[in-house]
Amino acid sequence: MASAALASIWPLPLVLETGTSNTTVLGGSIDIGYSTSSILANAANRYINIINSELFTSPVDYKQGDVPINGQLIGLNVVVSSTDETLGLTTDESYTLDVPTNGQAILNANTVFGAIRGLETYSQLITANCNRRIVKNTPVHVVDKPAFPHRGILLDTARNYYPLKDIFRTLDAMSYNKLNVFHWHVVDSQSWPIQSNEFPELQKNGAYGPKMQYSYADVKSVIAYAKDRGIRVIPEFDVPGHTYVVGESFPELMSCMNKQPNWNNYAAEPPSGQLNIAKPEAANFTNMLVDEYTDLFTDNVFHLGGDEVNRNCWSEDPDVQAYLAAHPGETVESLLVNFYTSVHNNLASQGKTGMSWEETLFHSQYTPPKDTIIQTWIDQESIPNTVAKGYRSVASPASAYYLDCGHGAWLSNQDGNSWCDPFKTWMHIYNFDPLANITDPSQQQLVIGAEVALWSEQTDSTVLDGRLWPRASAMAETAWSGKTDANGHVRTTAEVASRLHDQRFRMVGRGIRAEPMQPLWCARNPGMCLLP
Amino acid sequence: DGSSTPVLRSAIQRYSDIINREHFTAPVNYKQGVLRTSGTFRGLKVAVSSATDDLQFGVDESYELSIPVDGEATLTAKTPYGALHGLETFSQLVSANGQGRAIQNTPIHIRDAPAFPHRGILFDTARNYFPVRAILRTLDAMSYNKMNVFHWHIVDSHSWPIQSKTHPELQAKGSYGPEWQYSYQDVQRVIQHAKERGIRVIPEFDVPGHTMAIGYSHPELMSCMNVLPDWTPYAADPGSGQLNIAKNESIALTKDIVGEYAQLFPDHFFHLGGDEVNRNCWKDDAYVQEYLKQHPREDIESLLARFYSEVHGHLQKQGKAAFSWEETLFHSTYTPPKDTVIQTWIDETSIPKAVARGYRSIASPSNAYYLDCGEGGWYSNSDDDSWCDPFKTWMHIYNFDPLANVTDVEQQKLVLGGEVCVWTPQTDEHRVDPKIWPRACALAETAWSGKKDANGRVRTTGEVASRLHEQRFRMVGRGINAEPMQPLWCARNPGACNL
Repeated sequence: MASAALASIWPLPLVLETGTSNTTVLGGSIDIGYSTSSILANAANRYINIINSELFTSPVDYKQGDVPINGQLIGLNVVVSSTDETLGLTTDESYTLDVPTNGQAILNANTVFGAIRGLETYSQLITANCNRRIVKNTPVHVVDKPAFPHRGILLDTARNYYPLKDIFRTLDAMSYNKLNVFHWHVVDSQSWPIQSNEFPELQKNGAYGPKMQYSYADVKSVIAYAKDRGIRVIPEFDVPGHTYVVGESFPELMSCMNKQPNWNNYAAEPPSGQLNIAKPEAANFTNMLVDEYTDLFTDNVFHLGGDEVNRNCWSEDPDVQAYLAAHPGETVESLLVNFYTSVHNNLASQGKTGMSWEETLFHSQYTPPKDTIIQTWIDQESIPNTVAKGYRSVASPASAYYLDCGHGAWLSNQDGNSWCDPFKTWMHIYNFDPLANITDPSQQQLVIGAEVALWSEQTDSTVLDGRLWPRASAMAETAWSGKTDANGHVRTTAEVASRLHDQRFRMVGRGIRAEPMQPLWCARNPGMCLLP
Repeated sequence: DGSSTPVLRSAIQRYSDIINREHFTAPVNYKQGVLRTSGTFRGLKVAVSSATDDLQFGVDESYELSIPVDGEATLTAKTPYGALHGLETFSQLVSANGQGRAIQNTPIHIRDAPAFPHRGILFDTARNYFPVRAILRTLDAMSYNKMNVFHWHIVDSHSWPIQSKTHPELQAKGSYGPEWQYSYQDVQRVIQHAKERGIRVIPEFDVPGHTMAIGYSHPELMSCMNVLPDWTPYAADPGSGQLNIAKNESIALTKDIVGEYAQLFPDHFFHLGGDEVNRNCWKDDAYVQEYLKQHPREDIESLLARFYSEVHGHLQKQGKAAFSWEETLFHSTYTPPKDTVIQTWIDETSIPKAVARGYRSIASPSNAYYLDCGEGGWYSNSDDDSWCDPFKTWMHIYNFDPLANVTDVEQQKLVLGGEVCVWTPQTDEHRVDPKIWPRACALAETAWSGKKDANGRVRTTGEVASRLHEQRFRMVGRGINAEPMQPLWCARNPGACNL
């Protein structure tokens, strides 16, 4: 509790040492020396603007008077040792930051991306006091690096569309929380918003409309904007399920297209439709798509989906039945293995690493390449199960990290809960431990991180910010700072609530419409809104 | 034509603006080409027989609208308020057609009147503050749904945002701060904006519970003030605090408040709260204990009955009638005046029970009409659900029948309507539109149109979903951040997203 009162940084740094003085900030200058990095220059400008426009006071300080001042801060000097600007799973995000009582602050990092993390911390140290900016409890010494290298948000832009400005704003908010992976679930059965040069008809027939599309230029601008904030963009093109929209252009490649009214035999939600894996054309089509989008998306990791594959869809398909009758050695399972083999091999031949939903590993006979990253969602036990099989794992358990849950059913003639009710509160998200039930340190290493997921059946531009924030911040801290402090004490939600209130109000001030956690009275009176 | 009043004139101006600005296409018509038209609309003639803008409970809201294939449409109503509902209907009949606008399926004849006279939203501006613009926007959205009561739960334990002239210290010490206040002028602006949309503003000043904010300036009038860490014996939520009903000064302060705000708010009804009154709060209070020792024939129940009797009596002297939460009727020994309107929330069976006792009733069952539910608990150290989970979907709200288990026709008439409630421990300005809309639309339709069609068949959510999608997208176009009900694909393909 003491350190939370001393400095309100979210997520909490690895080492945070504070003094007893207070320092005024004389201008928000950030000096990057002779660096020629545009990423660093952009970051410095961004944080100069944030610092000069922000006048943040913590809710607990609403009655704070004039703070006695012991020194003056004359800006920040940023030193980056490496010129390597490759952004990937192994990027070094560490930094050290020293803010003296008097003089210039110093930020040291190995990479520009570490510097970006340090700049965010620096901006969070500065608060408003009586029409000036100050850093409290100087000197401040921070040594910091993330607990997990993969800290992400999955955003589904297919069930409902989001304009680019929403994606940019989400990337901004991610950078305020030191998140570093934007998992773009760009297409799904309901729509295909993204341009394809290989198959232009996919977007033409599959996008919700001309104003609800992402062009190549749009995608490139998202990738560049994300990289400027140290955020990787991992695209997902989910195959062979969740592909009804492909059938709007290529019905001949599909099975169980939009079965009504009993779609529930063929898909988790309407409309049903899966690539017909008995047809070599379906795998060829997929490989051409993967070839196209592995060029467009620069990250080394490419998500191939593989979730919720429905067997009835194929076992009742006349083409599949005919194929299997003609090929007595084959089954639906072997066809699926062939499909995955073709698609994963093709991806590997592009020099990329696959990411797959857990069903590919656990609920098919296919053995994914050993470098495949398995994203788990069905069960919390899937994480230990994945790493026990030697695969790297990203934790997205629906029971903790699905931000869309808790909004009840959405089928028009239903009046009940959804399969993944209840709502996941920030406390519930914060309490989840991606390393639970993994005791072997080498297996723990295989848990590379976590993603909260926002599936968009009941979400669009009107509610995006409130659905994501501040709940994604809870995961961001668990993934950056780990679950325990230096003494091995597991942080509790009661301890961190006040700091998260700060972060929420800070984000609101920066234009993110994060939802309130409590009555303002509770934010102002830490410890008064606890269950006894 | 007929009588013109300021309310009518402003409504005509408003709908002219809406119609000229709006270019609405229903999601199902996303591929629709330009329609061939068979006639030209040459304006709408509005005829209102009443020359008064008086807005009170029971005002006639009926209207009749005729739109020919060619020529002038006519809207007739008895009052300006009926006319403005007709204007809303008219605006919803106009849709985009190419670059222009068209009305489909003319000629159209509509005769309309509400099933229930009270169709409201409770809006809590105390747990978190809402700027006036958020209230005005909510009133706009209400008018798009023909809702007519803004129940302003203006103060509560956590803050007292409203100006008081009799006790300025209440706002000075009880509001969240100078930027989080409502002046008299703000309140009058809200009332005027509401009136221009046919919406009555019923203020709630909840006594004797939910009053910790009074204790910031009057600690001497309070019992169990912010008991920590274990507030649970004393209140439903932290911070605890109730007016000390053993003190005449508490009654005097309450009368000052009621007297003052009965003047400021013109509606005939005034909500006195009375929910979640906690007996331990007084039992454990030293002053109350001492008082009861001195007055052996009194007990807490008799003190509470006296408190209510004084306060309700004072309200009657102002010429007003009370709203009370159901506990006043069911969980106290006090007998409210017969003209009190009982707002039920605890249980769906409270509605039949309230009308069986001859009281008028408003339905706000928490298991159907509480829009804040379903976001889990909000105590920082707890990972539990909230008491009123799960989330109330629009389908669940639509399916609720305020008349369920009320069979007697006379008793049915005592059910005046319903209110959805926006309690705001987890809501503020940034989240309020999607919390309310489109789910409040579901109540708005059951309260205006009733549960059944002309043939007595109960409408199903499967049937009305497509129309509600339209309403949601129409509202988004008008600047209300209503949340989506489904993937757009479902909105465009009615029936394809049913179980």
